[in-house]
Amino acid sequence: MRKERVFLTFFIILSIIAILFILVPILKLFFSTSPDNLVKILNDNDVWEAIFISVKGAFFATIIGLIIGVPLGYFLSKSEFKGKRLIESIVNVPIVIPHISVGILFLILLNEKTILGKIFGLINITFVDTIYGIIIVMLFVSISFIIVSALNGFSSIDDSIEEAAMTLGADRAYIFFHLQLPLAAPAIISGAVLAFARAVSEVGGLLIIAYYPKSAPILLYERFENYGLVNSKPIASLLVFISLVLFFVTFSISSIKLKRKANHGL
Amino acid sequence: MDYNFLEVKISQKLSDFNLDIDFSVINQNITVILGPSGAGKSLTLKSIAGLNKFNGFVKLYGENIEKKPPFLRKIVYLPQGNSLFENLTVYENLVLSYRVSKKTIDKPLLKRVVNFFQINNIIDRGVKNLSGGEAQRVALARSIFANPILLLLDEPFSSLDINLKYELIEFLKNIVREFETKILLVTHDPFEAKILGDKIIYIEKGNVIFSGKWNNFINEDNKFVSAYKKLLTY
Repeated sequence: MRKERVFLTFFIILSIIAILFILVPILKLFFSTSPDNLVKILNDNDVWEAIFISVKGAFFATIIGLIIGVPLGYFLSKSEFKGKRLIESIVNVPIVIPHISVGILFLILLNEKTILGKIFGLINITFVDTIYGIIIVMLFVSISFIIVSALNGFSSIDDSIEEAAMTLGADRAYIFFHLQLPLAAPAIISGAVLAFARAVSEVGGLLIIAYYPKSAPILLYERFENYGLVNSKPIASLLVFISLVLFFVTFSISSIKLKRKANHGL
Repeated sequence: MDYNFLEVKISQKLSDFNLDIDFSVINQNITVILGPSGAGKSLTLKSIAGLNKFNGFVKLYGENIEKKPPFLRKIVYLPQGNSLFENLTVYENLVLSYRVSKKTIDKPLLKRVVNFFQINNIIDRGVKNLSGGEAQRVALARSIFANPILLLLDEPFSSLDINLKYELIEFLKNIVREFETKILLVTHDPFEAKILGDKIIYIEKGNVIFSGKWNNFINEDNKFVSAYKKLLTY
């Protein structure tokens, strides 16, 4: 009995340390920011522009990530083939690559002198110091979250559902869009929220390929380098606050359940 | 010319053994495929449903259907466990086969099915909130409402307690009378086979060992039958 109590107490203490580790730096940042400096920042157009660029880039990166990542997650969850483990490992590669390297590898791949760079140039898309560069880097660093969450979401659906639906007349497309996708949606949305958060916070890759237009973390980095801690603190507070708001709003929206009205005359 | 209701010949190489199934159902209402776990019963059922590729044929009233996709076979397969679509209500589950094929919902049949399976009072509920017995009744109702010639049931009693099992057995016996649907049911439980089977097909390691009536099956000399007889002596 005493042993059990010691064990539980020990775990509770460790859990509290983990929570404090996350909360204390954030609270410290908020409380050490002077209100005057914060007001100054709220009236700074450059800051709002940078936040807009970040949100825009992360939004498009998440949408593209969903469009190409969900089918891959579905494919990996529903099929068995040689080399599947390898592909599952490749999916996680963006998480382990240092972010500065991400910028360098896209600069090598997509600068205007490369074949791909020239092809995109034909449709007036260039990646160095443009919003497209921001989106491509954000997509790379965040797509793993979407693929893995989609894979987990689809894997949790019993195959028997698909089999039963097939004999009831449904084809694969109907089963995917009407049965499997809605069932996997909570997992996919969670993945998309994480991907969005990851994209918004990207700095390293953007420093290399798209310093301009200035996204919020780049602006913060620049202000810190040029004007020091005191002047960069209010921007940091604002960014953390906006990130938290976006995070909780998206999660709240994803958990709203729509009520359907019965209309069958029974 | 009179055809058998169902004729099945399935050959498939599996990792443990070769599936080599050959049987026919003349006109029996409920046929039970019986056998120990891992004998190839479920795979046989999936093959008939069009969910497993094999060499051989499946004939329904003399017509070869093995090349038809599952949804054109007039056969509905109810897998083991809960196969209800959790994102839909009971009603949406019931009418899925009509929505998929964009057919007008057969309201008189729907009313008959809903009344028969006693699901009037849960029709608007989400299926996540159903009890085990309710879920099984809804799954059966959904299958019957699709109007199949043959209903394939894979271990339908596996997760039910004895009361629900009894209730479901009564439903199954009445289904064939009320809706003119024949049933092919897979089980490893000889008691279920005895109660329900107009015909027993006993499978072991991918081969049909016995095909006939229960009264003849219990005279067979094999481990499965002797284990069943020993159980009866307790």
